[in-house]
Amino acid sequence: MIYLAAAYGAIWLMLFIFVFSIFRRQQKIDEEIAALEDALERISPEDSA
Amino acid sequence: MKLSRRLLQMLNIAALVAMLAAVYAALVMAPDALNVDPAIRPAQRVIYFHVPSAWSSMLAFFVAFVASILYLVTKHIRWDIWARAASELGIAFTVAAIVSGSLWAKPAWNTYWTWDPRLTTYTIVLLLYIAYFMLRGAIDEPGRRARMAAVYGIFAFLSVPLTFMSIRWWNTIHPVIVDAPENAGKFGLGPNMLNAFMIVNIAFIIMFTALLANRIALGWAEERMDALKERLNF
Amino acid sequence: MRRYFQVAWAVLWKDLRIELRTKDIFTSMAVFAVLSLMIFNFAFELRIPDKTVVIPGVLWVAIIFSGVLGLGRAFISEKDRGSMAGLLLAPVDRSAIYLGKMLASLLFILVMEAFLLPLMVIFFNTNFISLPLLLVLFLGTLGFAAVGTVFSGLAVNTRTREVLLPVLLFPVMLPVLMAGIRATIGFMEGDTLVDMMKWINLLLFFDIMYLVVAYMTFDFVVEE
Repeated sequence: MIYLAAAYGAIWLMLFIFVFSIFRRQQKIDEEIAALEDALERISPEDSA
Repeated sequence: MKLSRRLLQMLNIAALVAMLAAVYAALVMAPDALNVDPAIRPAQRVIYFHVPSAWSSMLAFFVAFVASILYLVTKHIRWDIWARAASELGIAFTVAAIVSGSLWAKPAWNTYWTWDPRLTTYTIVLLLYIAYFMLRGAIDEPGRRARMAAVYGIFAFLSVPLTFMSIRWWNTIHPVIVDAPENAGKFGLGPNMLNAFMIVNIAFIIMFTALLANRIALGWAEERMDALKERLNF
Repeated sequence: MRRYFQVAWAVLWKDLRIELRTKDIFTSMAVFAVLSLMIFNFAFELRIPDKTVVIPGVLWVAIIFSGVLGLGRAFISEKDRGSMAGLLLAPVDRSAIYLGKMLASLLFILVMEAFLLPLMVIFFNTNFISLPLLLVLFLGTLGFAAVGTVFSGLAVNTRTREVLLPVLLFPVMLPVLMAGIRATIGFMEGDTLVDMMKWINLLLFFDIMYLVVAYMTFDFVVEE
């Protein structure tokens, strides 16, 4: 029984880690993209309008 | 194929529902395996998640293989993103399958790990794809990185069936559920167990699609970030 | 067609002449192979009753480990001397360059094996060499050189260069290693070529498939 719980726990944990890592990376990249777009706008407001 | 945010969210919800159904099918709906020792009957239910994990990993590596070929043919960045996403997904499923298998092996074989060819070769498949990411990590220029990774992705995947073919000829103690002739079409499972097994497999396919779609979306975002950095001369 | 083989031969001959002058690759492979023999002997001697049990494993591991040293040099020396660009600028089919390079690596490893085998017979005091074994060794080495040459080209493109080569190459070579070791065990136990046919077929299949894939992908590896 304990091995069943551990095995399912392990699979779910693995999937969770994967989903979480995607989520985290996506969040970081979204922030970075926003910052970059901001910076781009400040440098050349006319061409990114 | 750039999925809209909305579609992606629907896919995510579908995957979550499917996986909850899978847990129900595996733990509640499926009957006890009467032909195994009562002490390890609960552990037998690991099969419902272990086998789909292993199959999903193979599916992921296959997607990576096809994407690698398409990249070399078209040189379109999309296929590089697909190959990278699928390989990563494959690694996650491989680890899930190895760990769950080893937790089943403890009660069934009385050890977490044995040097069985099936286990060893599957672990080497994992190392193949870790090497894939090491190769990617060691090349800075994006075009060259995509090209080299695609070539390696093709070679890596081709060795997988050969490896599995050769372990058939060594003696493996790993249960074979698909190929045994007396089990043709039944996967060595009773009818009710087979139903549960099918539900779990369908759920895994839905989840697989959702994870891959999310990872591909992330790949596009990375691409966009790099393009922006390029414009700003970062 | 003739021209194609002339190009491959030119590349092969060039590599051979460099090697004959410097003896870099052969010396390092041979010394490493002997070294690994010594280490294996030392590691196993006290624990096993029968030395023939370890011979197949020792043989193949020594070949694979020292072979990868030679393969690593296939393109790195070109890149370091700056002759890579010249080679690629030549108005010839790139796959002919691959063929030449592959044959050169194959030859170096085969020469190393010719040096290693008699030594093993002496050190293990067992004559395990037979014609079928030589056939299996050749087929295994061919697959090894076919894949290794492409991966050597991959590795020179990376920051870590030859450090990455074994990590890339060994897991892909696993079917060859398994078939080679299994067949060697079989021949040592007195099986005939016919008994071991499935392993030979596996090796043949591996060699042909990987030569074809290497042939098709090599262009992408050296493309600038």
